Order: sequence, then structure tokens, then C-alpha cells
Amino acid sequence: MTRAVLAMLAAACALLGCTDLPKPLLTPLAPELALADGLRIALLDADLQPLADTIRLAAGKSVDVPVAEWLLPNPSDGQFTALTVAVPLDGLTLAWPDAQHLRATAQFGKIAADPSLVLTGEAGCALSWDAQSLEIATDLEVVRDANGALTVQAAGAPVATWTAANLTDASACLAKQPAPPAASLDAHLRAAIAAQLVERLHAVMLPTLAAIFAPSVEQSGRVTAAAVEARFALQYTDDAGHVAAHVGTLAQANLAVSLDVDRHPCAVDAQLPMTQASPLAQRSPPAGQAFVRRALVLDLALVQRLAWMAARSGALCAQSRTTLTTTLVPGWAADLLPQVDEWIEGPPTGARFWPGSSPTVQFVDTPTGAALQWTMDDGQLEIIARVADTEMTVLTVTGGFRATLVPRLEGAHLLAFDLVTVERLSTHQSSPLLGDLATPPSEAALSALCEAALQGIFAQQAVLPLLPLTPGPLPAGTVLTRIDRAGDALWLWLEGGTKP
Amino acid sequence: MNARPTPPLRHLWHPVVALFLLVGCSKESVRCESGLCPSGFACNPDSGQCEALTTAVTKTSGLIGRLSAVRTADGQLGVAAFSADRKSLVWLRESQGDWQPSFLAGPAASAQEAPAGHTSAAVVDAAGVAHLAWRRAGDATLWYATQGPSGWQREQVTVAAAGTVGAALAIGIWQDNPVIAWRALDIQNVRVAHKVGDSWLLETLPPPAALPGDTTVAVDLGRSLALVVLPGGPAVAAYEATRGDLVLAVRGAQTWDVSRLAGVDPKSGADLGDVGMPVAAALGPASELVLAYRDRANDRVWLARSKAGVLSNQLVMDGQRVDPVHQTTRSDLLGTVLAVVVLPTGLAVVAAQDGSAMHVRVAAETPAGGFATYTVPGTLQAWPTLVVQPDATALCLWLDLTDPAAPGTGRLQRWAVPQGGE
Repeated sequence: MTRAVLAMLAAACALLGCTDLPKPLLTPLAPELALADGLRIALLDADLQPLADTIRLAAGKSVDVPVAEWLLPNPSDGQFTALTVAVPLDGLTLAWPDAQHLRATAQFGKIAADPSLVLTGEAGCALSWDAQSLEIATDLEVVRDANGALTVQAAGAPVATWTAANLTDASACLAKQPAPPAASLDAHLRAAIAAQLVERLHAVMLPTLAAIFAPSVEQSGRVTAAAVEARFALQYTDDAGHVAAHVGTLAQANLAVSLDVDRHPCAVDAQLPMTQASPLAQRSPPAGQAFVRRALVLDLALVQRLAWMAARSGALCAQSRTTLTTTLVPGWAADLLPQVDEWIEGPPTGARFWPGSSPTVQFVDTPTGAALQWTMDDGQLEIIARVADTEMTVLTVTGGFRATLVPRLEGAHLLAFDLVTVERLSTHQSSPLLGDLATPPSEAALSALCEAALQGIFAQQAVLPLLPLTPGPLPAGTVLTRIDRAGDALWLWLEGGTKP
Repeated sequence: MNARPTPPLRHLWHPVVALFLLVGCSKESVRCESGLCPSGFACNPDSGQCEALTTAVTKTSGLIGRLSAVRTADGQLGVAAFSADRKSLVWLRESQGDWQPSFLAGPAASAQEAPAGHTSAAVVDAAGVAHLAWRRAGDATLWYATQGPSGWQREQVTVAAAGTVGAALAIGIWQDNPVIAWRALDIQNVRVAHKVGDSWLLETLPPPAALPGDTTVAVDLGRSLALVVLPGGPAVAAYEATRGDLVLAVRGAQTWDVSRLAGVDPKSGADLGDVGMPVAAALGPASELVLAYRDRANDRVWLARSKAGVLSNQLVMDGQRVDPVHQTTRSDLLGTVLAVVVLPTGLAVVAAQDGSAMHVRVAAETPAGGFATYTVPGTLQAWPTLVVQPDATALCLWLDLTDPAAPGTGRLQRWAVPQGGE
């Protein structure tokens, strides 16, 4: 694995988590390296109801609630036997009553039970109990625990509201008891059922919400390959312990990302871009309903730092050569180097790129969607080919290059960036083999060649982190379904992966 | 060679000589050195001046591809090369300071013949007689010629089936007869033919021994190869492309002993890089095997020497260089052509093509064990080779590509490698 890939892997780990690979930092990263809000997790209000529906389905439309046996005040008198109550879960809603709490309100339908009282030395008596409906509201909050790990927990006591709960004792069995337990029995059933239902809801909701807001554990580390060491740290931004906060029409968890990397000797010594992250713009969700949809939002400032990190680690130049992605047509050299075309054998055997500056990146929209524009103002691209059985640099293109990279889902879990176009910015062409070119090469042929060469260079080196959506802290089944851009942010829409 | 520059040119070469003084071509006098004269000029060692190559220009220009140089019985140089404009194999024989060309194959040798000699190799036997092997590209056939009393006698080496001869070959002398090794395209391996009487005996190298844990079956041997003849028989050094290793095959009494020399950890089988493309070989005065090979991934040139059964590796040259403008380190395509000779002192000299800057770099081993490195003066240089001079120094020959009238092709030049370092 190349050092560049490892450096990018470190960045990927910083964003989405890796297991075991990074080593602990020897010293904490300097505070000025931290980019606040570089990465955000966003859950839109418009996606709350599908999320609630998913939780309801996971909890079950009808919940079997076990009620344990319950002894009479004087146990020697007898006991109510254990029973199971089927509780229909009619609906669930989610809403943010305030910035820091997510309230889940569950609507349960008619509940009926037939508790059986067994009296000492006597026959038992049959009872019936029912309630018209039940509503349970429970508040949740996303916080950090003592170790800094994200946790979703209940905030305050759940509130259960019963409608028309009624205990029927047709045989007046309870009335025969010295201390009729009717009232306490009703209270006991209500409390037991509500507690079980809350527990059941929490069992489904807490992991689901944790999966949404915890794409990565807080972590830091370093990855070393050869002489290049990449270092990273990731930390939630919290508000008095609360990680997720609701603002406007969405809830977000913000992370500060710190990145640093040793400079590869082939990379220019450029300073870390100090651009700060932009406020997160309110936006509408993508069309169509999706279950458990949320977004990872990469701010441009973070992508700029990742590009800096990639360039500084030698991602574009540390490899001795890369293969061109496109097989050029036979006779490719005729339009480029007609003087020696006769002696050039086969397609180019490789390409090298020597960046003379750190890249600048920005998001752009293309007909096919959001893209990343990667500009290198000063670089030298070398095309290697075999001339009379000997490898030589046959063409050198010097100047500025602007590559457009389109994010792409690779498989189900990887985000890759494909170079789709290359624009040359005031380039100068020469051939070490021929000296200055008497005849300028064909523009079309030159563009095709540069594109094929830079495609190979960008493809072979992970110039931006490939985000390993799984395995890692994201639950299995998480799928990146869409990538789009809003202002200076790239939204990666994730779905699924909610099974507790 | 003997003609003086004509008056219009005279004003050109005086500044050039002055420049040589500045760059240290000669520290003690204004006398020129071979290889330090501008294009179209050669150094006359007697007069110490650069003189116009009035005749040699036409004979040694228009060349392309690898050179193979030897010193024949009369002490003169012989160089096998490919004439780009004639598309023919040319044998350039030094004669009284001039070059006498003989076309041995291709249209210039026989009007009906297809282009031939793009890949060739030369060797001299104990009597100083030159032997050549070459490939005819069109039908991928192997050819051989030697200098007889009545001139060159050539033949097709028919044991190398037509259509199977690749663009890598080498020739040596074993038991007073030629032995040729070449890449066989049909089997992606190296075949060796030894001439005995009027026949050629054909052998194929066995694959190298399997590495620990290696399940790779395919072996792709011989995209580059070199051959020397040890006291016990021929030795072929070749590039194994599947794993990117340098392989050495040594002929014993009956069989070949084939092993991976570099690019792999022989104990663990771990990959240690892409080395051996290309490789050059030479024999030392004590019959020790000396190999120069390229580390393709790191742009380095290494020297491997087998002495008393112990193999040692030594870094010769490194393609890393500082870019002063950007304060970065770049890497040049160093060693895309390699040549090695061993002087009678046992010291090795390596010439390497810098395929990025189109320079020839030479490294001469010093008695202290290191290497003194030189960049051969000039620009646009390619396809270096080396030959040992009668005075026990090394001579570097290469093609000068500066002729704008023949882009991509070159004129034969030479430069005496200094002794002792600079």
C-alpha cells in the first residue's frame, strides 16, 4: 500500500472510522489544525416521519408485553399470575420540542388483559382489564459519555397517558378480599405495561438514532508509511454535552476535523488552507420518501484540507509512474510527435506528474451532478513511451491543469472520485527527445493524452479519501444513495443500516 | 576528420572550446577530449582541437536504438547499430580515426530484404573476431554473422522459429563458438542457442525455483536480458516480468541453475520491488559476474557482483534530483538503457540512460568502493554503451540526437570516462 493511500486512509479513518489500523498520536494535534464543523451529520425534519415509521416497524405493530406475577399485599393471601398483553402500536411520531431533545410519541390502540388472581386455598377469580388507548412520550438526547463516545439516551421520565382504563370484576371476586386490590391492580398493570413499552421503544430507537448520529467514534491517530506520517483527530462539537442540536428544519451533529501530514519530498511545501467551514444551509430532502435517511455533509473547507493533505503526502507524485487509463489508438503519437512516430512502440507505458503547487478545489455542478474541480496552477506532466525498445519521456506538458472529479458510489460502500475531464491552462509542450517541438501537437490528441494520463494518476492514488462506509461504526446495510451539492457543502445521503 | 573547420564555422567552435574550459573539460590545457566537442565536431587527440566530422557525419548519423560496441583484433572499435534512414543493421568499424560502415542486414544490405537489425548484439572471440546477432522485426527471426577472411558471413539461426524472436537478445562466446540468448515470444521465456560445428543446439531456460508461498505459475522471462560466459558455461541475466524480479540462469555441465537474484526476498518470498528491466552484464578479470540493473520503481541503478560465490549489491546511481524552483525532489527515468564493463583493475563502470532529461550518466567505481558519477557533456543523448580501451580505461559511446534535420535519431559520439573520479 502506498504511503499516499495510507495517508488518505488516515483521512478516511478520521471521517468514518477504522478499526485497529491507526496508532495513537504521540502528541495531540495543535488546536489551530482543527477545522470546526468540517463534517456534519444532518437529519432533516422532513425525514423524521419515515424514520418514525421505520422505528415503529422495527418495534412491531403489535407488541407483546409480559407482566410479571404480582403478589397481593399479604403474599400469603395469594397472587396475580403472570400474563402477556398484546399492545397494538398504532403510530409513532418524532419531533424536536427544543434544540436538544428529540421527542418520540407512540400511539397505542386498545389494550385488553385478563388477569387471574389465585387465592390461597381457594379457586382463582377471573378479571378483565382494558384501556381504550395509550400514548407514551419519551424524550431522547444525543450526548457524549465520559469517554467521549456518542450515546443516545432518554432525557427525563417518559410520560404515559391512558384513556379509559377500566378493570372489570364481574364475579365481585376482588370485593371478597380483606383489602380489595382493584386500584393497585390497575395501577400495577398500567405501570408494568408502560414500562415495558418504553423499554421496547428505547431498544429500537436508541441504536437507530446512534447509528444516525455516530458515523464515527471520536478518535485520533496516525498512520505511517515510509517517511510519510498522516495524523488526524476527530471531535464532536457539543453544546453543554449535547451533540445533536435542532436548528431550523434539521438536526445536526458537528465534528471538528484535524488533519496533518508529513510532506513527501516530491510535494511542494504549501501551508494548510485555513478556510473555515460555512454555516450549514437549510435545505429540502431529495425527492421520494426514504427510510432512515440522513446526510453526511462535507464542507468545502474540509475537502480543501483533504486535497492539501493528499498533495502533501505525495499522492500525485510519489508513485514512480502510473498507467494511462485509456488505451490510445494505434498511431497515437502521429498527431503528437510525428517526427518520431515511426519509432514509438505501442501506447504510452506510463505517466508522471510533478505538482508545482498545492491544489485548489471547489465544488461545481455538472450535467451529471455535483463534482469537484481540482486545479493545479503549476505542474508538469510527463508521458513515457518506448522508443526503439527504450523507455523515455517523450512528451512533457507544463503549466496549469484543472481536473473535474465526479463522486461515484463504488460498490455499495465506497465513495470514489472519477476524473472525467481535464482542462489545460496555458500549458507548454516539449519533448526531451526532440527538444522544442517544431510543430505544435494536435490539440485534440494532446487533450486526450493528458486526460488519460491524469485519469490514471488520480485513479491509482486515492487523492481524496475513499470513505469506507462499512465496515466501521456505520451499521451494516448503510448505503450511500445520492450525492449532491448545496453551496459549499457536499451532501452524501445515507440510508438504511438501522437494524439494532 | 582531418579537415579543419571552414572559416564560417570557426567562430562557432572557439566559444565552445572556451565553454569547455569553464565546465572543466580539461583542467590543465585547452586540449579537447573525446566526446566534448559540439555536434558535427570530434576531438583530434593529436592536435587537441575539435575538428569537423566531414566524413563521419554521414556515416554515423541517422542511427537509433541500442548500440553494441566491441574492440576487434586490430584494436579498433566496432559498433553494431541500426540506421534509421536505411532501416538496416550497420557495422561501424573505426579505421584511422574514421568510421567505415558496412550494412549487414536490411534494405541497405540487400534491396529485397525487409528492415532488420533494430535489435542487435556484438561480441568478439578470443582472436578478436566480431560476432553479431540480430533480429529481423518483420518476421521475428534471428540472424547471426561473423567476420571471416572474405568478409561477413551471415546465416539465419533457424532453431529460433520464425515469428518467435522478441526484441531482446545477447551474444557470447562459449567453447570458441557463438552462443545467443533471446526472448522467445511463443513461450515468454528465454531460449539459448549454441553453435557446434554447423548446427545450433537449442535450449530453453527452466523456470526459477518457486518462492515460499508463491502460487504464481506464469513466468514471463527475458523482456531484457544479458549474457556472459563464465568458466563453467553461459550465464543469462533476465527480467522476470510477472513478479518484477531479476533472474540469473547459470549453465552447469548439463542443466541450468535458475534463481531470482533481486526484487524478492528469497526466504519469505516477499516482493521487494520491480527490478531488472533492463539488465546489463560483464565479466571481471577473475571471471566474476557483474550485473547492472535498474530498480524501476525507485529510478535507481544497482550493481550486483558475484565474488567467491557471494553476491553483493551496491547502489550505483539514483534518479532523485532536487527541483530548485519548487524545492521538491523529482525522480528521473534513470537506467532505461544500461551498460557495464569491468576494467582490468576489477573496477566496474556503468553507463545509464536518463530517459527523462535525455542525458547519459556514467558511474565509475573507485578503489575505495564507491562510485564517481559523471554526466556526459552535451544534450539529447541516448543509448549509451561502454567498451574497455587498450589503456584499461572505459570509453562511453552514445548517440547525439541534436541534429534538427534528423529528429529522434542520432550521431555516434564517444567520451573517455575519467579515472579516479572528479
